[in-house]
Amino acid sequence: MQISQVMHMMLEEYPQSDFLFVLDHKDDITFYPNQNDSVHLSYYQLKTDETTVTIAILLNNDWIAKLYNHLLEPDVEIDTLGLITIYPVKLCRSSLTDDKTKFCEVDDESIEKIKRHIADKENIPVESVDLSKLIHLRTPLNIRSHNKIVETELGDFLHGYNSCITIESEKAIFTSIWNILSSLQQYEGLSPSADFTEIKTHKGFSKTEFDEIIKIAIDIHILPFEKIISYIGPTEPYEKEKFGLAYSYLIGDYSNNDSRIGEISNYISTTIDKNPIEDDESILCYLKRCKKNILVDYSNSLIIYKDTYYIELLVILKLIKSGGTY
Amino acid sequence: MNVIFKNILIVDIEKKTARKITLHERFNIFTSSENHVGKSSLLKSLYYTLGADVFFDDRWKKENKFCSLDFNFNEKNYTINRLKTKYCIFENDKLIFQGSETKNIIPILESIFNFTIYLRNKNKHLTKAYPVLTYLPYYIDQDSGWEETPFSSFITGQYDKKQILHSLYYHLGLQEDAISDAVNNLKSNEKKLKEIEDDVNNEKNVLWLLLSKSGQIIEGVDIADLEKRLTFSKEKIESVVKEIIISRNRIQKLQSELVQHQAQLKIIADYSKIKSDLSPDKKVDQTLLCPNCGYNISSNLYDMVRKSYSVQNENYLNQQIIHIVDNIKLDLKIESENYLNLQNMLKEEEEIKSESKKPYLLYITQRGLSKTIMELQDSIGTKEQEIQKLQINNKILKKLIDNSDKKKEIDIAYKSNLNLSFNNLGIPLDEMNDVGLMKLANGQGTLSTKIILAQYLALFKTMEKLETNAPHFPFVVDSPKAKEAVGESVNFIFEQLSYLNIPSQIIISTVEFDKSLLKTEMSNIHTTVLSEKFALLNSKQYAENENKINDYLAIMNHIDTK
Repeated sequence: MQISQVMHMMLEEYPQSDFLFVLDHKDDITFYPNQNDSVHLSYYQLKTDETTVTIAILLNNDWIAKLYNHLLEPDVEIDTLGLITIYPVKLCRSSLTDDKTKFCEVDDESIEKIKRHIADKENIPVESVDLSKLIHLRTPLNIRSHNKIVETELGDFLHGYNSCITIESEKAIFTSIWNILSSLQQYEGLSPSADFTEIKTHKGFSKTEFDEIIKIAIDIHILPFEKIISYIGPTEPYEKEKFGLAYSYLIGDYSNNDSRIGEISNYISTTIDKNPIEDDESILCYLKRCKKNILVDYSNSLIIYKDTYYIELLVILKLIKSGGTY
Repeated sequence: MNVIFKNILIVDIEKKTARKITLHERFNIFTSSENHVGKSSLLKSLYYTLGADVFFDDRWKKENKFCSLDFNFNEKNYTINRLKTKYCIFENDKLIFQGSETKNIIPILESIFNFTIYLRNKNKHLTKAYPVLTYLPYYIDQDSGWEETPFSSFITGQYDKKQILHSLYYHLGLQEDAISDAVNNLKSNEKKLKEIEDDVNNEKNVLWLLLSKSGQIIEGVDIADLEKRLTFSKEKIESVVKEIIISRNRIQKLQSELVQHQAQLKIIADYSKIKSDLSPDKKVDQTLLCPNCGYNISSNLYDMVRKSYSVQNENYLNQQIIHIVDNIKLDLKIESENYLNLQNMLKEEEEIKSESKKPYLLYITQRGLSKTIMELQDSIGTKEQEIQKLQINNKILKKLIDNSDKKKEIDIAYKSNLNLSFNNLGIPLDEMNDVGLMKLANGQGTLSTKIILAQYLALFKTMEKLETNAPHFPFVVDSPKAKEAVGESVNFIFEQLSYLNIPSQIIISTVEFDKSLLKTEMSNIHTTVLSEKFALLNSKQYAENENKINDYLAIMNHIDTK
């Protein structure tokens, strides 16, 4: 659920920050509003209890104290220390039912109790305890369907991001991010004193990577065959069949995890940039011209595609997406 | 050209008796004091051996007689043997003919004597005369020869009087080369004409048949249209066959594609079973330059997203391939149906072609008929032209043969000589009214022998005068039986004949011939006296000539009389 929560937060943060999320390092979630800024950050603890959390649970389990302890870390400036729960938190005289509540703005009795608890734990005077950075967040996710909920959220987001994005791409993006976040979470080779770069590399997921995944997903999406053919325009049956075969092979290669696809895709992108389509040139002719040029430039690695429409297919996929029809 | 008899051998094959008589170049006289010694039979046997039929005495039994005559002609020695109707002929001891029936010796005698008499038969066609007419002027029979008219000594029942007399012209040179050639040409032309006419008739019949047949077949059928239709049919079959080949290739291609698509589906299915670890390794070992923004992206990230994409969208991707596969299957189905339809179409076309071989056969027949009809028409045209030419040619030839001036010349010459002969023989000229070759003078009363003889003499003199190329045979004269006339007559005859160069050999039989009684001195007279009655042939002579007889009979016995 921690992953779902990060994804949820990413989607929320996307419009306003160049985020970097770190999982399970120093706390459940570390949020850098600027991925290149190691100083300003926020820590979040996610509590997945399925009952209402009382102030007693809050204090007895040292949830607040642990969060507050981050304020003592050197060389950083904490923006927020957040406690995330599924259900509302019942305090002395009030309950935290809103999405976001600052602890400094709850009932006085509860504030008093929390301050005293922190002062005790940190061994500092009660007056010096500052609750202004401590907040409570109520997550819309739940234990049973958090991934579905966040997937829906992602879908909505992506639809806003690019209205032409397909369900297939959405699935790829979701799974990709999920898998990355899972692996980040599971990575345990990092020492508590690791520097920012290490943390970013092994435990962090940035907005850049998020964008990248979206782009790759859109890029790699294989459009329905008939759509490709309709884009090419009138074709002879045998050409359609050759495209069909290339299509099958491409899908096979995808499934077969053929690492050359990325490489070829890159060649194709370069060739398209160098050789734009001419005004009076038919799509089919253009595809063949591109293939010819690609084979000239990269003949050694692409020779096996010479007699197929594999390269033509990749070129047309690129063209369709870059042409805005996608 | 004279024919000279050298020997005659007469054999009775039953009695095994024989008589060989040697004959001499000029005068040969066979005489006896009594009758029935065989003189006449001997003389009759001469031309009998050469193929002429004569009146033999019943007692002679000619069916038992084998005769062999040696003669010389044109510096060649010939032997002709006859037994009943069997003949064999030797030229300088070389057998040149053996066969039966007299008509079959006509050609060989023609070639020996270089002499042919043509007579028109009942159908007005020229035919070669039997040998008897070749000897007609050269024999006077003891009985029939001296009765009424000359030239009646042989049995010539197959010819009428006119034909017989007409043959005399040939002896007087009518058979000139030109006429002979004309006759030969006419003969050959007529044969050719008949063949061509037969051919033309046959061809006309065939043509008529073809035209009537083709009329039935061709009715309403235009050969060009037929040709076009057949060509079309052929083209259609070719076109269908081409389509079948294309369809077959297409099916094979589609099947091959289907296999490839299905292989890809299997790869995807296999892959999804083993779903590899999709955990991303954050270690950046390779970068890709984004062509759009120039951003360096992780190839790991790319691969990972792609993996995610393929795993997540396995169904979608499979569906895409399955969709293509379905389309191919549909195409295959359509193409297979098309293939079957084409096959059926081809079958139908072939059946139509074989079933309605009619149009095809019609075409063949029509083509064949047209060609044949044209060829026949050409052939008939050519032959009819040839017929016309031959007919014109034949008319000319007939005219040449029938209206020969030679005939008139002969008539004049003959009449002149007849006149002379009558004068010489003391026959009153009033006996000569309208007498000529075609109208003989009858021998009457005491002048009978003279009148008959005069006509022979006139004939021979005419031969001499006209210098004909006809062969001259020995003149065989059997003296008249009338006793009172005998002595004087024979001497008289001898005197008359002694003036002649033609014939050069004269063979006479008479009773009581007395050389001393001749008014003129004559040399070269060979007289043979026969004395024994009914014993011309004898065993002694048979024995003397037995080897020869046996040799000849052996040949004769081998001749098939069929």
